[in-house]
Amino acid sequence: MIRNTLFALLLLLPASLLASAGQGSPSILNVGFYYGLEAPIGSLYAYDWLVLQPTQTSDARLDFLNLGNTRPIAYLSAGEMAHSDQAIKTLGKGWVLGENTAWKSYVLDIRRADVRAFMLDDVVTPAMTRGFRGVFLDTLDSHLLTEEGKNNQQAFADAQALLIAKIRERFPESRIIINRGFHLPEQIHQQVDALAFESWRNGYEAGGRRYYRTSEQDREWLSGQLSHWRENHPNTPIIAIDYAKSGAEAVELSQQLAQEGFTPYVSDHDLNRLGPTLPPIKKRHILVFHDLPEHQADQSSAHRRLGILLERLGLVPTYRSILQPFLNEPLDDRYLGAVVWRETNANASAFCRWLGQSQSTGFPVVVFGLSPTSTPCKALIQSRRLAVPAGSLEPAAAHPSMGNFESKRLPTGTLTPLPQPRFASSWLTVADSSSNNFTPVYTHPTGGVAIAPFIFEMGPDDQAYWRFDPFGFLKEALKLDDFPAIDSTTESGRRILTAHIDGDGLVSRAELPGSPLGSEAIQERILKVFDIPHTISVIEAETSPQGLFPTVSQEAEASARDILRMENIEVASHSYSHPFFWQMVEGGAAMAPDPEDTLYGYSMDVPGYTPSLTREIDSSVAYINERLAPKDKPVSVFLWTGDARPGPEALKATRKLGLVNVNGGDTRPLPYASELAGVWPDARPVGDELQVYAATMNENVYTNLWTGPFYGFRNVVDTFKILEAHNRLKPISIYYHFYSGTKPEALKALKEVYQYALSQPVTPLYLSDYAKRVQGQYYSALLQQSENSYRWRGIRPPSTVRISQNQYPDMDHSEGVAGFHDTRNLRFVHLTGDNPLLVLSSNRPTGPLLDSANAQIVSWQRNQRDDNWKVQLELKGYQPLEFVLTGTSHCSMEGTQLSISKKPEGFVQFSAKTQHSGRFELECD
Amino acid sequence: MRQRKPAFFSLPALLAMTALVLVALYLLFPRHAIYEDPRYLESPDSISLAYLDTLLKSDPDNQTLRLTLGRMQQKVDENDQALATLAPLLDNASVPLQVMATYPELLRGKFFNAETDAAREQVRNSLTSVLEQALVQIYSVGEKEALIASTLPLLSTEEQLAIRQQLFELTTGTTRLRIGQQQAIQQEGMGDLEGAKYTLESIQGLAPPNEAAAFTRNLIRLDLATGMPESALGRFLDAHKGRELTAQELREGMRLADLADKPEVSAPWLAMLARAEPTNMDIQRRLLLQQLGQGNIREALITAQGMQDNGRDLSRTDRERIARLYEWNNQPAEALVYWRGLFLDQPPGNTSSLAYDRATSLAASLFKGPALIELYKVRAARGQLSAEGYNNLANALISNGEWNDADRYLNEGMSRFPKNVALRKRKLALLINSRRFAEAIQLLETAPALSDEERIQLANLHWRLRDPEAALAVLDFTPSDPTLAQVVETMHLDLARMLNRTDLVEHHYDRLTALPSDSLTVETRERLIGYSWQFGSPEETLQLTRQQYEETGEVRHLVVMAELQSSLGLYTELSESLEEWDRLSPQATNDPAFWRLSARAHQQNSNPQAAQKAFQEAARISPNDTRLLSSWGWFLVSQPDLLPAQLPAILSMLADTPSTDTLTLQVYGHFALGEQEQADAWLSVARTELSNDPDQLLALSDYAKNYGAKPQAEAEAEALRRRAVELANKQDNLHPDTKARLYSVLRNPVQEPFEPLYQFDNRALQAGFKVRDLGGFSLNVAEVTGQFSHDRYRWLLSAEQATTNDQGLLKDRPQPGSSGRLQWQTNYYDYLAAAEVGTYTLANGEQLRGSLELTTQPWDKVTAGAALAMNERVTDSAEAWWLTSANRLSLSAGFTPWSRLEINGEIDYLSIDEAFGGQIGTGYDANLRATYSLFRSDPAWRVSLNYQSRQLSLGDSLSPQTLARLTVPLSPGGLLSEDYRRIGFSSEWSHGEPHALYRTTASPRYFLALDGGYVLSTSNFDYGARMGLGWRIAGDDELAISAGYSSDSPGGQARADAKITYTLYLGH
Repeated sequence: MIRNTLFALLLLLPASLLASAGQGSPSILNVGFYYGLEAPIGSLYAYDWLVLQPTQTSDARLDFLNLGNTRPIAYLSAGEMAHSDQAIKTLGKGWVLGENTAWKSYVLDIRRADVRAFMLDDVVTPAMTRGFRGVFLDTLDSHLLTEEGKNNQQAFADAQALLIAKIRERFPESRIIINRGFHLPEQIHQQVDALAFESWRNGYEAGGRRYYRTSEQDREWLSGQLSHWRENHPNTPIIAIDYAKSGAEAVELSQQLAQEGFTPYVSDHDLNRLGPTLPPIKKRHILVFHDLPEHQADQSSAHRRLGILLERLGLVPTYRSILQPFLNEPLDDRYLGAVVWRETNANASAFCRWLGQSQSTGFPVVVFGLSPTSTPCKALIQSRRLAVPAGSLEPAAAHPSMGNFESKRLPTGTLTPLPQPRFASSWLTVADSSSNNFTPVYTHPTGGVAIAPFIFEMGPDDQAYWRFDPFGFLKEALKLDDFPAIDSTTESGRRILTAHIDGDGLVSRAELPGSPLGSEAIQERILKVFDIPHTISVIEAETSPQGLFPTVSQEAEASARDILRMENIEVASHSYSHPFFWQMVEGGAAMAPDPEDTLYGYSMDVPGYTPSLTREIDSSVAYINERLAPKDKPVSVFLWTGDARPGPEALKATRKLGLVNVNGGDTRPLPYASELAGVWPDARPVGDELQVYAATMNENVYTNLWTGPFYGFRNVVDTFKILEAHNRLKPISIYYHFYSGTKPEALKALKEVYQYALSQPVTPLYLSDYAKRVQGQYYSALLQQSENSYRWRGIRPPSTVRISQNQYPDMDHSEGVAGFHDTRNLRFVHLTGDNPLLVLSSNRPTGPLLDSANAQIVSWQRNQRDDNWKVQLELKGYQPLEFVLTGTSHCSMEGTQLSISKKPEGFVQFSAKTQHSGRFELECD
Repeated sequence: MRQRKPAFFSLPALLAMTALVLVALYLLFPRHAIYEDPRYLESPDSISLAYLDTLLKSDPDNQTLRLTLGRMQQKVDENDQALATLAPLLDNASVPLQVMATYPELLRGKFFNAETDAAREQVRNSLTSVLEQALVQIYSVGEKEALIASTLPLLSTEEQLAIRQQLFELTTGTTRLRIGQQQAIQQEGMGDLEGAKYTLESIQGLAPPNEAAAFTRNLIRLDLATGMPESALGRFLDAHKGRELTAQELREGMRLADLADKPEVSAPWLAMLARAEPTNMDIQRRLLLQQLGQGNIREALITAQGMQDNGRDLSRTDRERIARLYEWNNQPAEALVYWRGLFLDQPPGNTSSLAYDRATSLAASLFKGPALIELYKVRAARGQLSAEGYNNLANALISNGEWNDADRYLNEGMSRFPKNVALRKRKLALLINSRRFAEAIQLLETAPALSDEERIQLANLHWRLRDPEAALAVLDFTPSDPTLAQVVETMHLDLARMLNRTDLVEHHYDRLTALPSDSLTVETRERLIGYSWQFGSPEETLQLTRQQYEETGEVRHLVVMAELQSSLGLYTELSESLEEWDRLSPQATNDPAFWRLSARAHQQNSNPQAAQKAFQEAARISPNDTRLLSSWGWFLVSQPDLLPAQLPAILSMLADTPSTDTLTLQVYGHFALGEQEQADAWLSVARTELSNDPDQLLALSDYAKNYGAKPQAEAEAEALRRRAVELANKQDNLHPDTKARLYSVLRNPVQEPFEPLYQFDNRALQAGFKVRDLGGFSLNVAEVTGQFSHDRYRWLLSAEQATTNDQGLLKDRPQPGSSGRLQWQTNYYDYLAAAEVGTYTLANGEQLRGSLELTTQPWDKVTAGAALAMNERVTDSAEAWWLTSANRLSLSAGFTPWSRLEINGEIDYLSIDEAFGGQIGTGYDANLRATYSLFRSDPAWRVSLNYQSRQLSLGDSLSPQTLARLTVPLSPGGLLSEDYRRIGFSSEWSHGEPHALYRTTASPRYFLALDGGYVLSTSNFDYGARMGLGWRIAGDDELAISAGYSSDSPGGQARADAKITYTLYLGH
């Protein structure tokens, strides 16, 4: 352990040097070779090029990597075909020259044109079509395993050159990496983007199943082969792929390879461990285990109760059921720890034994929920002894937050066996009537434990109140240090405000004079009054002439068109028939609940129709695009219906259409109800896909499923306040249905909600903008260039990150940082540009900074001239602009109508009467 | 009145007058014409009269004179004279007009002067006659008309009418018209309306145009008067055919049409009239009503709108009517305006709620929130708003988003109607919906009375405000509604658990479980299942789970059921559950629990091979499942045949992850494998680790006591037991069996717990045949035996039929005999009681037998027993078997110094009677035996050392009756063994017990026993052997045979026997 720590410190030194040297300079090329399939996508973004096995790579993975500027490159065995390859049946006569018994594959005769055509047409092209943007050509020297190959080496080299040339010709933008291929003719070297080779320092012997050190002799031979490339193709990266048994060794070896001028990649022998990168990745992913069946992950406490905590700690949860097969790939290369929440009596012995193996290497494991019974699980909580306390309990020692958080009381007895750990940092120790001490909540060197019922005080109707500060507990148990966390609640220092409407009730008649359509009422009384971005959805079967209400279709479609034409409206689909159970649509009738248990059946009752994903998603989007949406404003969002629990296929369908998907979850904290425990996470990962939950629930929930009170949605204001009070857990999300337009009190409540929202310091955004920020949390990698220096790679650069209040952005060394804003215990840092660099400091920065704005920051720049600062700022918003600068006492602005007012405590506020966007140049003291 | 006569009789006057008369006469007389001067006639004087009278007398045919005189007489009221004067003239055919004019006149005067009716009647007749005469004169119609005009009224109506009719008949043209009209009037006056109408109709054509309308009107009038409105209407229509009617005519026509009940005729006239007179509100109203009557609400609305546009003098009724019209014409908004106006204008004294009701209803249906609120508010301000109205007002205000006002008005309503529950509920709903829970609590707490639902709600609110203690206190009631009662109970459970009130949890658990299981909700039952593990029995958990499964159909409940059935030994039910699990869930066979439980079922069905396969399958699916491995391990421990197959590997795997659950298995497993040291080592570990589990501690103490390494074993066992007892005193959730085992120890901690002496868990039926050599002859016995256990009781019934194959020393071969036996046993922790009655055939007939037996374990390792038997069979010899019976009093004791050694002793006091006589002997029979178990199983090997001593004091001779049945005169010693002392040694190897009525071990079962001894009383050595074999035939049935031989017996003969049985183990 000590050795590892020292080693890591040593590594940090050159890494930080590299980072400081690299600030502002082009970053080092990171090339990865990952042949596994379990790594979260977010952990892969650190690589510029990533070689993947096409058969192990989902389309989602490809799509998201491409969005994140990580170029997926397909592994291609150019000289062999594995026995297990499905294409083996298509092998032509005479294609096989011999067999590579070590790898159980056939050696192909690449000299044959039909073999090369097969490679190009049936292997490379399909991969490129899927989304790969390059090929890694392996087994280029396999022909040497055959007599024919040995005797005709030049012919094979020429044939391989022909294949490479064809690939280049057909896919000119692709990247081609060759593995070794030292024998290839010189003319083809120009077509190659990188040369890879293996085992420079360390190798792996498959037959002996052992790692070995490369002999000097072999290295000299390799060096001789590489000299040509170094001399003649100095700009072509040379990738050294080495193998190491442990992650720590890999880091050391990677450094060494880099110092030797290679682009390093060091992994385990089957290339399942993610190799180190430069700069190193700051691990944010965390495994979260529950003990419900896999498809009920979203119902688990691990997801419902813990998800938001982990997300707000800056972590990215990966949910798994302990009933699933155990993971085969390494954990500590991609995950910083694991959390387990047991709420059933599922047998967990084997699981605990499996996870305990990682814990024994220092991998933190935090256990919540039921007391373990099996010995492996007791080991996981680091307490061999558990016993049922006798009589009533009295607290003996407690963390300050224990019994002083949401709940003010502690259990006075339990029938549950409680741990009696020997080495623990107690968060709560209780003594029973026999003066025996028990510790139901504690942290220990490799994790933490919180045993029910010491986690929540339970109220009626499953309301739950945390007994202690779970943020602090998790931070301590997982040994989390402070790092900037991507935020999806705040934009430009102000709370994000979104508004979106599910299409339900568009055709319903409003209980208003004249009985207009629900949509018309909403349009007149809400959309035209509160001119902020809205996302509006339509249910096809409600509005279509072929739908359920043909008599009002014309009116309904006209209304929908009218609304969608409005400014600040984003178009969304709410499906064709409004399925109520998405997993059933995807998984067949077996997933269907009993019809008697459904409120409205399985979907809207369209005669003769059985819901299908294509009809619900693709066709409904096409309908809206063709008949309702303006041509320049097609559907961009899909809003889930019903239970809003889509499966992977449904999520895939929306992604394939280029839509962001939103809805689901059940966030609705309220006074006298669950508060923190009533907050769902931002998103639900489903395999490689991601469902973005609605930030808060809609009026349907607040009105008891629209049974009344119909004004119940006004209570969502309390929800907003609670979410803010808990350190801004969510943005303000006004989410409702068109049927809110059908009741006067519902409209009144809506107005109250809007008025409250707009009375707060907010930055209105489209729902899709919010969803993309959530996606950014999950699909991104945090690179730590030095101890206090961070960059991000992923599908979008963050625009806001949270840091602790003992840190400040170092404005002199950061890039794309416009300022920060403090709210409660949080500090939100505003980032701009495609590749911001955040350097943290303990010193408060000087000079003018953007404190907050009600618009998105398009650009920010400040320069100091003499004693003055020149600030250039461009904002884009949806309301009359308002922004606040700090760090200055006076600013002047040329040629603008903004009014300037000085606020206390060194803030200067700029306000426009009508202008929503603009670029401003200011002179500040 | 009589007129005063002139005063002619004073002298001067007379003189003067005479003179004057003379002069006058002179002047006048010659000129008759003077009397014809009208001026004179007006005031005739008597002289003139006289004069004329004289003249007339003188000239009676002078009609003129007569006429003059008559008229003069008339003037001076000498009517009678006048009549008399003129009467002669009437006799003429032609009567001068003057006469005819005067004479009726005179009669008229006479009529008036008549003082009696008769006189008047006479005059009337005269008058009639005169008039009739006049009508036939040749006068002009006008003259005739004039003649009758003044006097006609004096006649009776009939006479008048007759006169007129005569006159009418005489006339034409206009005159006829007039007279006809008059006649009609007369007829009408006489009530002869038809006649009048007839008369008029007859002259209608004579009416001049300017009178035609009036004439028609008159006829119409008569039509109406004669009840013929249709005729009148027809007359009207005829009269106005082809021309536009005036307003008046329209009115008249409408009236006639109405009278003729011809609205279709009048309707257009009314419409025309309404158009003609738009400002005539009455007409408009009438038209409106007519349109309404016709159901023509659309037209009516137009009329109403006309009235509305006119804007004048709309009465309240009009406005109501218009409001309704708007409603009926689906123009509720317009209707609302009227109803609202009507309501707002309503005078204070008007308490009608019509306008209010309609206005509020319309405003609500039109979603006119503000209007609706205004109506309610006004009503409230007038003090007329009902409680329901306040409720509605609150709803309206809420609907309009005026929540504060809603609150205020609800308060106002509640203050006005303090007892109104609906208002309180509405207020409560508002508070709760606004999440003002504290106020909601206050509202409920200050309510005069709460319903059960409200109490529950109050408790819920307290809990929401994180005051579970208050919530619990509120719930201190029992709702009458079973559903609510269940809600209360479950809330109690949750709250009590939260507050660590275990006593309450148990209390409410008991209450809920006392309810019929099928009356519980799924949620409630789910809770109870959870609590049943703590407060209930496994049987209770099973019952609840079964009910839950039946209601929900969820396989998870079925799985729990199977687990419970397994642990409760309900293997038939377990098999059924497993079958259902397999049928319902395709995943069942992928679940290791399924195979583990299947193995358990197979194990209990004595199918170890199948059990082993099931365990293997489970292990294949879940190789690391410690629970499975533990079960499998225990199974293997119980199956020595399968040792040491997987058991070492299982123990090894479990040892890798030592768990308190598996420590006992480690101990017993290693012991079963013959690894005593390891077993003892695990025992040591287990003692530490299992320090909190009384059940397991007891199991370990059993091991330590029976098998543990000496000499620590006893101390170890003692310590474990002590610890178990201590724990049991602290824990109240022990399994009942554990409690039972601890029972005696709990009473006296220094005592050791011990097992019940017998395990009653079998039900079996056995049929068999045996041959038994008794020396003199052999017995062939066919028997059927059934043994049935129930709870802690066991019944044994048997019947047998015995025959002998010889007669020995008996004169006659014993008759075949039947016997029956009924035995009852009960077993408790430390004693066994048995009672038996039976009957069998002895030489003297049927013999009743009986016995009582009690066995107990007063101290650990020590057992003691006592028995009393009456009329037992005696088997010392074949003859004794037939001729004697014995009574026996037994005392026995057993001592087990350590587990493998048993020492038993028994002493019997015997009293033997003859079948036909009295007692023939008494004495003692003592047995002492020490048995040591070399091996406990497969095969078990036991060696025994035995000493038997029998000493009987016999009588001198047998009774004559007995002797009579013998071929030789035997003494009692010939039947019985007087002195028998033997020391013996035996060795027995066995695997189970063939013929046993309870299943011992897996088939085949066998034994082999070798016996050798020295009979001290005869100084002979003897020997013997017994062997038996039983095996499974069908299902679990056993076919068993056994045979034995002994070279000696108390009777001195060699003995042999053989037996074959077929046993059905019921339930398997």
